[in-house]
Amino acid sequence: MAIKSQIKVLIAEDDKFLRNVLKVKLAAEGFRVLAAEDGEETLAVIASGKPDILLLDIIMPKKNGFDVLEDIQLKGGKMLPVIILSNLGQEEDIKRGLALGAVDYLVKSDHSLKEVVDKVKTCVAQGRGK
Amino acid sequence: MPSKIESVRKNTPKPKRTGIDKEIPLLLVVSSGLVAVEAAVILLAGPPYSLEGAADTAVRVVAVIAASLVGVGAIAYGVKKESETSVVATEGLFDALPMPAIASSGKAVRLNPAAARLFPSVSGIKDLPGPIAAHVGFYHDQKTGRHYEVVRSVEDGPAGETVVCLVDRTAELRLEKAKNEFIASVGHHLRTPLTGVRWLAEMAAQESGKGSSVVRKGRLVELEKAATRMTATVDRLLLAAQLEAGTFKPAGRPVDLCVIVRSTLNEVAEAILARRLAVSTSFPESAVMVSVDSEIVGAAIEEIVTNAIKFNRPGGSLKVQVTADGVEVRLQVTDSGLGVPADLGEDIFRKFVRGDNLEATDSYGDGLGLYLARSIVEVSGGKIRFVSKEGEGSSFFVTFPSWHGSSTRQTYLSETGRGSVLDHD
Repeated sequence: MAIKSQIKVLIAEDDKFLRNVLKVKLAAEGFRVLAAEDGEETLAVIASGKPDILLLDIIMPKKNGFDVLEDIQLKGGKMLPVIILSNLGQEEDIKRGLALGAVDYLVKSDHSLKEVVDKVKTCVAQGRGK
Repeated sequence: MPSKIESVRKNTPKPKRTGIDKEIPLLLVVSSGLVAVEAAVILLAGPPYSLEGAADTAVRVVAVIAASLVGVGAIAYGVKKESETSVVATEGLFDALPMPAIASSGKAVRLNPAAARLFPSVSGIKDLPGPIAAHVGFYHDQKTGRHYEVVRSVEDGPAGETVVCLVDRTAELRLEKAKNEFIASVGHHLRTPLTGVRWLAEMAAQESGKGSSVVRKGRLVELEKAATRMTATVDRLLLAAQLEAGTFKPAGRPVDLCVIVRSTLNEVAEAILARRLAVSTSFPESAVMVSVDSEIVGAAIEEIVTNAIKFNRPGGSLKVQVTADGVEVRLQVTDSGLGVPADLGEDIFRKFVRGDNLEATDSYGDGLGLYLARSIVEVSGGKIRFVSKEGEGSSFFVTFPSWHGSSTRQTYLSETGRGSVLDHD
């Protein structure tokens, strides 16, 4: 738990309900949690909060998740590990997300909360989140 | 408290079987699934596993709906394509064809008048865009924005030339795009709250016996909200299906249109404040009576006003005006928002159609708002139109015939008392 508390997870999710559920669960698992509710805020929090992992929704106001990934790529430097967490589950969406550098693509309604948290933990264990 | 659309749906007969049958029974299945979710919310004092199961079932049904709608679209497209590909290339018909047609032999090409208008400077096959020269594929004309399918004739031309026609597929592609967006939209609107229900149920199960009653109650409230959102989405889809099937017949009763408009403004007051809009209203001194179902017409007006809020710029303006001339009563809603792209025109009232200029906004609607508004207004005996300038805003006008009866006037006049928080006239 002590190690995990150093790991900052940014939740980019426009739905307040889901954002809160994820915040509560990840905080309970010992992560430091940052949150953003649209694409522009996500980019701002990446710059100011220096998260270690980004849990990224696709359908978001102002800038969607794909745009956020493109902006991250454009800025260059070390790619922030990104797990896409979206209800867009078409094959083309998944291919596009992974092509833009996401390490994983999870369709929200196909995964339990535990599975989502496990993916974040795996990402950390593989050294992608720190 | 049920939404306007929900109460309307519950009080109207089930739709008859029609061309859109495929959507209706599936939607009813979803509705049943959601009722199960709501019931589970109420009973959550017991084990939450049934709730998780109900949510899971509803997620699967949503996927079935999406697959079904894709199938319907594909079949419709296939039938149309089949009927258009048979092109006879006799000499007279070649020039008379309304669609652009190009005959080629070696490096030489011949264009009919429609093709010559499209390619005024083509003198040989080298000047033609790739797909046309290759006799297959799609050509997008940048000047007009239209999309053409290159269709090779089943017969050769009189001089043994290869003949291709350019079949305008712009409308189909727009419809296809709209359908894809609708599927994504419905999926988003139903899957998101369902995911929340599922995850909260999972948390509640893990916290069983650990969390405080306050936390537990908070979870239940969130679950109920999620189920309510799903119900609202399903209700809108069902109402759209009923309107399309022609089975929705609202009963008209005399009412002051200003009462409906004021009530609607009060319901959206929170959204207006959140967007920091400057609202101005103007209502006649005396009641302006129309004969409509106030609840369903209120829902239509809410769609129009909600759009004017949602697609407005923060700190923009919203003007709401009701006028009457003795013949008809007119509502005008004017916003300072994004406006409707000129090329959309009346298509904005079609299901699942939205302007490309909305893609960068924070709205991911279900594509039914203005379709519902127009259908409700028209089935209620009214008319709706709009004027708009992209980037500057839109005005929507809704008119109903004035009602000139007298028996209930006094009753309804009593409902026109002022006092709304948005009533600044």
